[in-house]
Amino acid sequence: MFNRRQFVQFLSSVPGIVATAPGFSYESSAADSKQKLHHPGRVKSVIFYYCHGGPSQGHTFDRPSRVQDASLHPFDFMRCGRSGLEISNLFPHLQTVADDLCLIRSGYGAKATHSEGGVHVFTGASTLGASLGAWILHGLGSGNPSLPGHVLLTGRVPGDKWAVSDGRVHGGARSIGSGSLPPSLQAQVISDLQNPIANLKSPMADDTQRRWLQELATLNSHFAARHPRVAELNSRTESFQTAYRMQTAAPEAFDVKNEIANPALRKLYGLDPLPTRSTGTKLLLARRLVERGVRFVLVPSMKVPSLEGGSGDWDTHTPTQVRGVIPNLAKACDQPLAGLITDLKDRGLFDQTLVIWGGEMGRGGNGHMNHNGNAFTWWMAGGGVRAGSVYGATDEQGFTAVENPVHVRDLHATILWMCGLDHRQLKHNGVGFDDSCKVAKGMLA
Amino acid sequence: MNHLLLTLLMGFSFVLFSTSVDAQEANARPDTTVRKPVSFELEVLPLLEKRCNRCHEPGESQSGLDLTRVDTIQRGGDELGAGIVPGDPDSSPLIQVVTGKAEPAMPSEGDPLSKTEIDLLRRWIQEGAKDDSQKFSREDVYFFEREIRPVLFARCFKCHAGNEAESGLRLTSRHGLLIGGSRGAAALPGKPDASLLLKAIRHDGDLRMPRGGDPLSATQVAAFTEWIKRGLPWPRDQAVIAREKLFTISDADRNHWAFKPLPEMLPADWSIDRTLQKRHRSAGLEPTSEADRHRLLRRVTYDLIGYPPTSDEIADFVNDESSDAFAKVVNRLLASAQFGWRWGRHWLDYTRNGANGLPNRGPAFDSQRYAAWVTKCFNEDRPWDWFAKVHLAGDRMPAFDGTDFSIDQALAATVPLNGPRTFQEMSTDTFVLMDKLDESIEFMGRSLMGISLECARCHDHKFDPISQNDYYSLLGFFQSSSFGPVPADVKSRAEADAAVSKHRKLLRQQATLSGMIRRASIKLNVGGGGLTRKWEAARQAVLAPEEKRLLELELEILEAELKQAKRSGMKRLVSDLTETLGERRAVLQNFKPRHFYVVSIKELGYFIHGHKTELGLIKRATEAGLTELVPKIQEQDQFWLDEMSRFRERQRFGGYAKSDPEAAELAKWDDQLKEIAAELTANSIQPWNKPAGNELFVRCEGGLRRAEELTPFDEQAKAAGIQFNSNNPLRGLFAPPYIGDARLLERGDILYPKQLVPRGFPQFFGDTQSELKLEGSGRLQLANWLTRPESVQSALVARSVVNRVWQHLFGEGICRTPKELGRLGESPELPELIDGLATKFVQNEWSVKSLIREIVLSDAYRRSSVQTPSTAEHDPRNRLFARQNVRRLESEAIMNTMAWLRHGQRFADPQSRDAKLMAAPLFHQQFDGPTKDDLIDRRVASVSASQALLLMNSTSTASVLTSTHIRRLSGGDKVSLPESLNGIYQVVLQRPPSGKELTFAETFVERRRKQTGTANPAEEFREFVSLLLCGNEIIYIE
Repeated sequence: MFNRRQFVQFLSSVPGIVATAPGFSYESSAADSKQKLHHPGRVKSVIFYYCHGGPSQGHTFDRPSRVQDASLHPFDFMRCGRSGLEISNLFPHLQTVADDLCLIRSGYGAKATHSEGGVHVFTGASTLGASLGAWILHGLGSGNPSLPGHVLLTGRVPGDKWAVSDGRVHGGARSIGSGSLPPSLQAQVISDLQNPIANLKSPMADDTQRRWLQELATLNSHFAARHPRVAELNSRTESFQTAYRMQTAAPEAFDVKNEIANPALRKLYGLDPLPTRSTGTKLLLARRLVERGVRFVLVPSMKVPSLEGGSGDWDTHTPTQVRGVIPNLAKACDQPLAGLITDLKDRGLFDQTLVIWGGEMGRGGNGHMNHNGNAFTWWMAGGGVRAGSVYGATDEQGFTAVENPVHVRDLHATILWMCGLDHRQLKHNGVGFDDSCKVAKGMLA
Repeated sequence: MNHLLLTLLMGFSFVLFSTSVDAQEANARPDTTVRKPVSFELEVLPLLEKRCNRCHEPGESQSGLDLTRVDTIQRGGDELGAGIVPGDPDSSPLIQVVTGKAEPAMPSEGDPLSKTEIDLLRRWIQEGAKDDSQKFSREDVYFFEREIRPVLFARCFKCHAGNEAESGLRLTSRHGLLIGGSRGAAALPGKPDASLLLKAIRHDGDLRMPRGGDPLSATQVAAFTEWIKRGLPWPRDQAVIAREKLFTISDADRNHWAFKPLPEMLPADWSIDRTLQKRHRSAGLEPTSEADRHRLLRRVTYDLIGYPPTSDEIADFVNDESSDAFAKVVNRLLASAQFGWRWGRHWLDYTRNGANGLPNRGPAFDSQRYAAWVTKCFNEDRPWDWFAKVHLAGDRMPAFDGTDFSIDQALAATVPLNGPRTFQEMSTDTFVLMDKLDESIEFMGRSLMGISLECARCHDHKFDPISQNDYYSLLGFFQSSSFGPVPADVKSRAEADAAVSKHRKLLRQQATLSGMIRRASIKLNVGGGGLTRKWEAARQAVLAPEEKRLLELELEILEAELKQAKRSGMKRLVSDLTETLGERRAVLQNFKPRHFYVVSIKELGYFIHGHKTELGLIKRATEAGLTELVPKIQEQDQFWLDEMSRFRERQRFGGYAKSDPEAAELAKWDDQLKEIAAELTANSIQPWNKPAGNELFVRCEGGLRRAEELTPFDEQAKAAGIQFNSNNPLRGLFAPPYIGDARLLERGDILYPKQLVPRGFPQFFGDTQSELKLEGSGRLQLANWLTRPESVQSALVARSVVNRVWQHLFGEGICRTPKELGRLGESPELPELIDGLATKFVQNEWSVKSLIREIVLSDAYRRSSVQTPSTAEHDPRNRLFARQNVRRLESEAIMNTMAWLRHGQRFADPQSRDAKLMAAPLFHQQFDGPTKDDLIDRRVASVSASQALLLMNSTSTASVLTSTHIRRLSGGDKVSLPESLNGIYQVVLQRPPSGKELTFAETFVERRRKQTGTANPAEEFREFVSLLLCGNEIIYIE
């Protein structure tokens, strides 16, 4: 019997089967869709921590210099690191990595309703209605033919009774969809962290399946011989080999068992305290996935209990929610995100990974308790961004982006740019992005 | 003089640059050290144009002030007298108003002038307010007026004018030419050969103007040369000759292949094959021969009904020696019930109708009913022009059978609204409604006409002859229409209209009453000094002990959970629960009563009975084995539910109970509201919920209101003595239904409504508004206009259809952008084929079946898809259709195939098929089923590993399929694999196996036996079939 590597080599030598090229592109209809970067770009993968409900910039990363009612702004800010970024004390761990962050305070152009806002913030730049993750996967191609390239992680770890819901994305399937791009680009939703991908278990024994794949290749070669110029026939034969590889690769990639047993990592990601356990595990998993070439991992925030009774998400409309929910929401992501940044650095992945924190809109009005599309804060860290910097500013109350305003669409163009992709050239059947997108060069490294 | 200008130009290169970048950057730029005198023409006038002259131009000259010329500036306006005092900026009213030193502060719209801008004006005045604009002889100006101005208007101002001029270049003023756009100055006075403008119109270099359309004539180019040589003469009294872009229709528009009327007559011997033959000959193409009978039958059967042929059908056709054997097959298929489902689905792709009619966010759309109706239309071959009209005005047309009204047609007329954008808050958020209306225009353009009307929402169409005005003239039809609930068994239009009117009357009453209650409730509450809050505060004493009791119950449950965790040795859980327990105990110890609100009570409710993924206390108690606690918790639950209604009641009645005499009037209104609610069958605030009973939301007359106007209705409400909460969704429904014109929205933005645009048809198509006598919304006239015989618009409709039908039969359209036949789309290689087919289609009374028959019976359709050296060499992309294409089946056909192999039958409709095919949703998802988010003009055929996993490993697919029906069909029960191979191939691939395949099957058996060490014919059969099911041929049409 031969081992797996020999087997793959053998398969590649069977007529009619194309060897898996090193830069295997995402599984698309076009067999020759191997992608080229438009310019050198550092970012190979994105991890997006999405704050469900529209986080208040005024309580987190953009201290208003004038407030109407001080009691509605109970959280202090501190200048942190050598860069002196002002960050709320709700994020003690992120404060320690301030010099790695780029705070984007001048986001605007969000839609101030949740569902539409969610769709807009993820797909707003694309005239095809495709989500940012789908475009990045389309543009960069798959980084690992054995894994899905675009993933949404929503679930909770078993036994997490602290978080009140799984992570959710406003706008649902459209926010993570492929629009009119090939459907294989849409996010693979992983809600069950134990059993992430369907149909991985083959009814056949391994040696039977290997022979079966070989028989399939021969069978297909008869058909392909009639149509030597129809390239997709070969990609389809190839997809069965990919599937075969996924049977072993996916369980390995999604298995965090060994890593979460490591005390250092437990501490780093906060896997012991209840509030950070699920988020920490998902971000650890996200790191595993990007390490293995997954292009876009979306981790949405969960609903959390309120310190003053009840529960809530980032949609904080009342003083009670501001005082009770925001601290817990911050707590849930603070340590895991800081841990992720540190871990990525330790592994030399920080330069090629972009970490994003943000929601579908910002907040405004007294106490930053209303919906607001005219100002929101995101931050980014990692490859491509100017570390330890602030991009843009809002007015003194933090209600409107006034300095270097950056539209939702511009953020998309900028993120693509960091990946080495030029939104003006990125097209599918001749259609691509809203032509008003601009790259915000000021936030690039 | 020219020399002076050039010096000016160079000297002010800084200024030239700064006008093309954004103001902030200009601010940051350091001052030049040596200052040249300020130029009026090149600096001051552009600034005034940018910031002031929307109002202060000669035409508008608000307050009598014209800021386009130095002399009129000096003359000043009605209020402040002379605009400037040369040499003394501080005393100049112009400076005073822009610095806020004098009333009225200017500019009245937009940001104040920046310091740099004000400084420029100051310096110019300081330096004596000189006018440096050049003076030209009367003869020169006359030359401009005669030779240049008309050309600029006709050929340039479609793009190079207005606020957002293309490349920043405005050709509407002399300074516009001198300052130029992103490529620099457009013209250098006196130097034609060095002028970019001339290079562009001479097509000398990569910039060729005018874009699209014929180049300027030699005479015109010569005139421009002369004009530049003379130094760009310009009339002194009109510094800017146009301030907006000018919509123009060019010859190139009229000559675009899809914008021409159809040929009146076709040659008597016109045919698809003759048309193709001409092109094949000139391209030196040798078409492929006819496909073999098995593959041809498989192709035509899939193409026409979406199922594979049965063994009997194969035998019949293969053995039929008659010359019309194929025609008989085609007629049989066209008459089949599945034909309508197959071809109806092709249309449904253009209606944002997902696989199983997944609902959008409103209006609740009965997709299944609509799909069944579409199927019927296709099966009965109802004429396409009628079918297209129904989608705009089905509710205003008689039924197909001649009766007065058809509910299905009224339903079909809501299709333009069936889109992904939400109806959420449509009555209070103006942009939501506008976006829905935009979807309607998009549907009409893309799905019915094959052009991109929606591009003209924000600006004139950049490529096609559709102006922004045209867009809003069409929008008015949709804005004057809405949807309403109608009983499905309604008999006449009068009944349907009555049902809608009644619904609307109830809605209005509902809105009025709730507005009245609100106003009265505020009065009561405020009159009592904040009665509601007082009452809530008083409740603290009652609620605190209850909350405490709840906390005690929670502690008991936590303790039980802890015990359970300890027993099962879950260490982490133990520490978590201990932590939580500690926290909760502390809360109990330091218990403080709190002020409750409706929201906080609601959340307590979630905590007790659970909500979405939140596990409630009741469930937790049960799981922890504390069943005796459950009744107590349920008691608590009930208590808080009751309390919530008490809170709501107090809020509603201004702090009183409903039974209090102070609230008597409100209580009466409240009872009336309850009666109305009982009578209302549909929820118009959340229209994505289906109406009750057998009612359907269908198209009706009268829009919600003008998309951009909400405030007037608030004022009406105020005047009527009622008051709405600013986000009360009912407030939009207070307005009476709107029938009228739409307003043009600047940049398509509802925040900037401009003039009303009379409803009508795009100017290009040549129908004037004056002919139009609109009834109601006018949609019926719109529908009649769309399909008016011999018109350009009906030619577009016909061309779209024939191109799409061709696409479904060849895998590619003749024009490969089937929802964009305009100039932005692909120019087809064979426009004459589209035109010929379209002409015949219209002659055959828009019969889709005849069209399909015509194409399918052609030689072109029947050709083999196997490439020959000739086709590969001369037409590798097969644009001239000298062969057929290899194409993957769509998800529906794959599902049909799987269901057919499993059950041996063709299903009556997709629902009954899916009921028999467990994995249907997975097939839909994995094999690129249609989405409801978009108008789909092309199905993707993706290839993915998850498809492979589904076919290879899922218990519901391959392994199940192989074990049952195929075996029976192929007679493979008892015999060995090679012996049953013929049967297997017949069933799965609908053809006999080749010799090579027979050898493969034999060696397969050998290899398998070698590996397993045993012979097992049943397993060999099963495994071989699983290979065929996962292989390529089964999901491709050759």
